[in-house]
Amino acid sequence: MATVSKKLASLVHDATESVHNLEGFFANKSLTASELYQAELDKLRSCHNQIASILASVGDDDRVKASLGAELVLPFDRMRSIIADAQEIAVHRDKIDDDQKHATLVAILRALRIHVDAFQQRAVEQVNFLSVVLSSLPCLISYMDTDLNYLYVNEAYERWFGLSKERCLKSNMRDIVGEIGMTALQPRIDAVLRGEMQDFEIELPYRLGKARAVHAKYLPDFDAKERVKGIVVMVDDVTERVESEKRFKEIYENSPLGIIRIDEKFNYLAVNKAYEQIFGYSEEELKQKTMLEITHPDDVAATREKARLMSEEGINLRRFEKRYIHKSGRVVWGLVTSRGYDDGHGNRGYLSIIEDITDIKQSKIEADTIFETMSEGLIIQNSQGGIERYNPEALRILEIDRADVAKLEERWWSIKPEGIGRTRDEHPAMVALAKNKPTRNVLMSFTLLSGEERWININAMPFEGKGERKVAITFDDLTDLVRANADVNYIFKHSLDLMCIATMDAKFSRVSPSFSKILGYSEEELVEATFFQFIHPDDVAATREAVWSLTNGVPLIDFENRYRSKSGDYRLISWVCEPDLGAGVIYATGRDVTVQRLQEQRNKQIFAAIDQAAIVAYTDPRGTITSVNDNFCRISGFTSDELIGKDHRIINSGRHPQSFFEDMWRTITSGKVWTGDIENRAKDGRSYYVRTVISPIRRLDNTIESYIAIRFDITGQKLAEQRAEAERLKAIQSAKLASLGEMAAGVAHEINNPLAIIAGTVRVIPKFLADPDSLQRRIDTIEKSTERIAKIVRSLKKFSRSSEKNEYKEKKLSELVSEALTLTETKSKRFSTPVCFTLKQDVTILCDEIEIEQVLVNLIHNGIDAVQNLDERWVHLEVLDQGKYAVIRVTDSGKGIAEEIRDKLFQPFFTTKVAGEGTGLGLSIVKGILDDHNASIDILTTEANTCFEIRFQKVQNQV
Amino acid sequence: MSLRIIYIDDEPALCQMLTDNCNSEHVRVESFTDPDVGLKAIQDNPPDLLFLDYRIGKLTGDDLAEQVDESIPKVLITGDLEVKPRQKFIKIFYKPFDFDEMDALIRDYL
Repeated sequence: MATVSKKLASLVHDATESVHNLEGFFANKSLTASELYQAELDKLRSCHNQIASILASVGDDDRVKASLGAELVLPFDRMRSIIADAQEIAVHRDKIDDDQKHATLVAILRALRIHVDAFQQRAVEQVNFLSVVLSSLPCLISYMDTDLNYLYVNEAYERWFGLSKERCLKSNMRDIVGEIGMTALQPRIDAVLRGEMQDFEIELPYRLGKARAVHAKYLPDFDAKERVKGIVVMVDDVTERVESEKRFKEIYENSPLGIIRIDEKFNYLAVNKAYEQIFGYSEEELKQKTMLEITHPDDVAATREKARLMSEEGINLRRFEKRYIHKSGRVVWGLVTSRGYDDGHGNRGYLSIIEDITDIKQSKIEADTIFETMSEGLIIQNSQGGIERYNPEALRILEIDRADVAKLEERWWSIKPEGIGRTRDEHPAMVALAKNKPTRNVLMSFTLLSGEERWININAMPFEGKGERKVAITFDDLTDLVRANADVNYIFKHSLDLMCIATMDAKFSRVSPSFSKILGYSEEELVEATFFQFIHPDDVAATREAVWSLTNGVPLIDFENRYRSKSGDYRLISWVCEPDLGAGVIYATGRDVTVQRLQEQRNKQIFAAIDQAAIVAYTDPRGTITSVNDNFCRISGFTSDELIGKDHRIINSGRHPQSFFEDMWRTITSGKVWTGDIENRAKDGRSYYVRTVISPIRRLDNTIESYIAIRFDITGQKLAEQRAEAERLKAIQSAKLASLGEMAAGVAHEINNPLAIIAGTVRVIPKFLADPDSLQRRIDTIEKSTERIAKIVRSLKKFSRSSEKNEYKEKKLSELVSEALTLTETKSKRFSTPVCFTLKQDVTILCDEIEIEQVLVNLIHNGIDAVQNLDERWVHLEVLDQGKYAVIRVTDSGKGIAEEIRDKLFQPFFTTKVAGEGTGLGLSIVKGILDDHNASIDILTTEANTCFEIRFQKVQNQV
Repeated sequence: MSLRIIYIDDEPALCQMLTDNCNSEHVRVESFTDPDVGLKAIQDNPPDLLFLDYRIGKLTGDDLAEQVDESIPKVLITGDLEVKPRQKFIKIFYKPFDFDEMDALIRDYL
């Protein structure tokens, strides 16, 4: 302040001098010396300006202004108007009213002088005040003489050096700044002492540690003779600024951000190292290019537009993304902050900071790609549970149409964990959010619109999103797995086979319920047990070997061993095992083949037995022989080579009609078993008989694969049968003869009577030759009698028929009975036993009529015989229709048959008749014939009288 | 003097035939198909010879012979082969007859 005050005083002094001189010019009116006038005027103006400048410089402090203002503003305004007037006078000096002007000017100058004096006075008064102000300024201010002794220090100065004002004012600068400081400052001090103002920055040692940077101004203080009399020192501690500048420099050089300055045409003016590194070009290379040249072609237009906005609209652009091309050709993503600049000299351009976000961008692209294409559903929820983002897989799994995304939340919250309903807060995503911990692998289900249940596995991971915590939920569709698992469990539970999972050290870890069923052990007894303890001792070694190969990764198929069941018996189990070396387990399914194996063995034995006992041949579906056994060869006399490839015609005897074999083929091609007796011819022409069973062997689709023919040699039996048949026929014949004999007497009587008539009548014919009427009567008698004989003989003829079996014919029972009545008429007469017949319903049966007539004759005769000793003698026949059966009852007046003989009745040679009266063959023959007719004969015990009942099968389709 | 013969047979043709053969100027045959009527005729007027058929309905020649005077010579006539000669009857004829034998018998009683 003192300096300012001195300066002001000096200026006022100068101004006063100038005013004096100007007064002199005016007083002399020697305005010719205009150049001097002008110089003086300039001097005055300069003073004014300098005073104005000083006032302006202190003017920032209101207190200073307040103290100076009133005194200085007026004089200075005056001074300005003086200068203006003087200027005008200088310009228009010819025209002015000299006296008046001069007088005015002088008056003003006087006033100015008074004011300047007053100001000077005032200024001095203010010095102390200014000292206070100076002291309180933050910059270091001191004043020292040319020997560097302090004359003034302010408080900042004291503080910086840590010395009191008193101490400073007794010190020399050298003592305080120190050796090192002085060495650095000496050139500056020398210069200021030479009168040159110094303005510089320097690092000085600092009493508290590290050196500090200072900005110093040394101002020389001149005395009136322009000699330096003191130095004003003003110092700012700029350590902070310098350091921040250093830091800036460092940042600029070492920043990972590219920093460039380019001109308006995008030419590089400056680039930092980072920028070089980002794009792979050196600074030199870049300076050969423009920024647009390394910009991605697609982003050039946008870059130009942004530049225009910055330069024309003055907009600063923050953080926009653009693409560049790296020297290597790859794309570089940059996050750019840019602004235009103007250096004030007409140079304009842009400053830009570029962050290489290629990796981030790449990561984002990758993340987006993963998000879009990942095979799990992904949903991101905000802290309120609102869905912020979802991927296509999420929509797919939740079955939400893209056009219908509004339904996503509803569907999402309908998802429930297995079996239980939960509130929204219990949802795994909300739990993860609330606990700020991931929730893992929660199996949940929901129902699709179709009603189908879908299972998903949810993982929820909370993360800090922008401004709030969010949660990322991934989920897979496990429906198939859950179902497959359910299926597997179901199969496991219900399998009839033994299913188990075993460890590599031969322990069951899981067994199916079928285990317990088949082996009788509980699941607890099996699980964790070493399975060797259940295995038959003889099978342990083989099982160990099997387990060993499983542990080496070799699957096992059809391995069999015996397991002891809880009841102690052994079951044969056939195993299929698959090792899973990764999981360290063996998956095995076993089938209880005990029964099957026994069956197979039995079948084998049966087959062997059949092979041993029977004649066996196999043919293809067309009947070509494919295989024969030894028995076949032996009986047929052919070798197997002769038989295989042929059909059975090779042994055809020709004894069966074509229809016989047609029937056989019809039966077996329809898939049925055919049985029958066949007469075959051996190679040597001999006949042999075989009881044959031909069975089709079918494939699973029911088509016939082959036929098996199993035959038994029944030649002996057949021959015996033939003999027996001959015997039977003979017996029948004998029986016929027997009944014929029985009838003989009656027949004779019946024949002899008419014969007697004929013979006697013929003898008398000559007597009546003359009497035609009588003659005719006699002839009629003869004819009638002949007819009687003929009738009897006709009925006897039936008995003369050969033993050949007659063909069965449909006959009405009534006709058969009538015929039998004719045949028994004589006996009936002879024994005075009427035979009557009641026909209720007539029925047709299929029979050999002769045989059935014989049966009836036999029964009628028996009946007649049986009642001979009774008073009441009759035989009664009746025919009945009883549903399926045609019934004939032959009842006689006898009182039934004693129980003890009833069973013997049908045995051959059993008779109740007196010896010589019957053959005893009757009823046995009757029985035999009826058996042949598939008919039955019984004694009805329900009747009061003796009653034989015969039941025939009625002919079908008979109403 | 003529010979009177009664013949009982239930068969009219036989009666007719025998009558035709035996009737002559010396022999007169009366035949009956109903045994009761025949028996009445015998009792009323015993014949010289009685010819009885063996089977007459429910009766037999034997039955009828029992009811007739023993003194009347009786002849049994039968078609049966098994009927044997018996004391009551002086002769048994088997059908068909040997008329020569019959003629001879009749001649014996003329």
